[in-house]
Amino acid sequence: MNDLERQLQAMQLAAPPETLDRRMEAAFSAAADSSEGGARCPPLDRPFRQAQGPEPVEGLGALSLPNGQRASERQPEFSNQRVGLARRGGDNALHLRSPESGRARAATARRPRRRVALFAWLAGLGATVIAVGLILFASRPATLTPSNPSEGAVVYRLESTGLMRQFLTETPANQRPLPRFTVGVIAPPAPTTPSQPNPSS
Amino acid sequence: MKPRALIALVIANSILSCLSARAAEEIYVFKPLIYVFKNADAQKFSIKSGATVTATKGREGLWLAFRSPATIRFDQEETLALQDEKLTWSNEGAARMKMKLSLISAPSLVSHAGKTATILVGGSTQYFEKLADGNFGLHETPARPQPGPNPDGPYCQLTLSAQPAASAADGLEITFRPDIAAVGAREKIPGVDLDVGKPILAIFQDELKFTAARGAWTALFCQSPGGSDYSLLVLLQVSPQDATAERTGQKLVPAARPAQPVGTP
Repeated sequence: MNDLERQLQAMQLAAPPETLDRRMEAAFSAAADSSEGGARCPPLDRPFRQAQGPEPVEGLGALSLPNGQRASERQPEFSNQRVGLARRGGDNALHLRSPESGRARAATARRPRRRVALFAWLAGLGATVIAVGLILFASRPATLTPSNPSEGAVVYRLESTGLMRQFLTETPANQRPLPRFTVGVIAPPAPTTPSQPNPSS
Repeated sequence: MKPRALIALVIANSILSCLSARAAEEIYVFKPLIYVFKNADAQKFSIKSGATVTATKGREGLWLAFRSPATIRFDQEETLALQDEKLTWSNEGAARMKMKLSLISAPSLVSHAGKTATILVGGSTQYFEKLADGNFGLHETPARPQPGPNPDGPYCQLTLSAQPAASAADGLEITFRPDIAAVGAREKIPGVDLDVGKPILAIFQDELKFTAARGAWTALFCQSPGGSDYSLLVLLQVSPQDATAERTGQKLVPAARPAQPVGTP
């Protein structure tokens, strides 16, 4: 044992002051209260942070963690310092800090996003069905009698005058003989056949 | 592609499809020339035609349709020839025939395929009724009678519709529904010999379905309905809107409201 070791053994290291303990406890409690959104997340940002999914670095002491290292992957001695977590939620809160709870939290955070995507696809499917229905409706064959006779009907009104008025309002005399009315048929023109060449010529 | 963009694309496509299908629906222009003539003015009246169509609904078969080519002859002198899209009067008899025939109207009606276009000619007529105190009251039927099973005044209604025939060679399938309510008699007023009582309307309804080439003239004839002293002759030309626009150099639009009368040709 050299001199340095002896001096260290002889040293009486003072315990950390109580004020420091209280401050650390308060800091851990505050971190535990905002732990759902991650370290140093103000309470007002919780919904936003929840929608972002799990952070690569979460939990207490995030600043001291190397890049990409999760709080749950910290050494065991660090987990002993989670005073605020144990005080706030007990086992439940501690469970969120376990490695399995990270995946659970990630799944929980993805649910709203999946829900939005599901609704979007359902809306798209509904719109497609409506579009197909409209196309089929528009391409239906025209019918002779419209479903509603008055729909789209054009009415041309006239006031009867002259002979039409006499025709409509005069009582038939039934005295004059009717003109002789005959109907004839125009024979359709005979189809012209091309003249056959004379084989003798 | 984002779902929202996909939905918008599908909806826009469906709307465009509907609009294009609507625009592709054919529009027809009806050009009827309605003539009335007094039977006493014609000693002989004859029609020669390549094809004759009789009425399908009328009890008496009042109306006859004659497809082009056809020749209408009055008294062996004046002739009117229907040759496809041409309507020709004989030179020497045109003036005399036009004096005998009264052209009631020559409107141009525009309608979609399968939709109806109607010409309604109506007017009021007066009559006397004996009142309880022994006096006589003068009444008048409505100036715009309402067609139907119980009309309140005399009218002549011609309803037309057209659509493409089953085979393209036949052209158009045209439906012609005449509905005429004319004064057939008058109620007798006790103690009055004059024929001035309330009119009793005689209704003549008919329906003809026939095919005609696009733009070809067809003659529709009704002789003395109900023993009347008058006869009706309707010359009808139905053509697609595009063909009509080419002929007249203008674009016709289906009327959203009743068409306005046009002058005689």
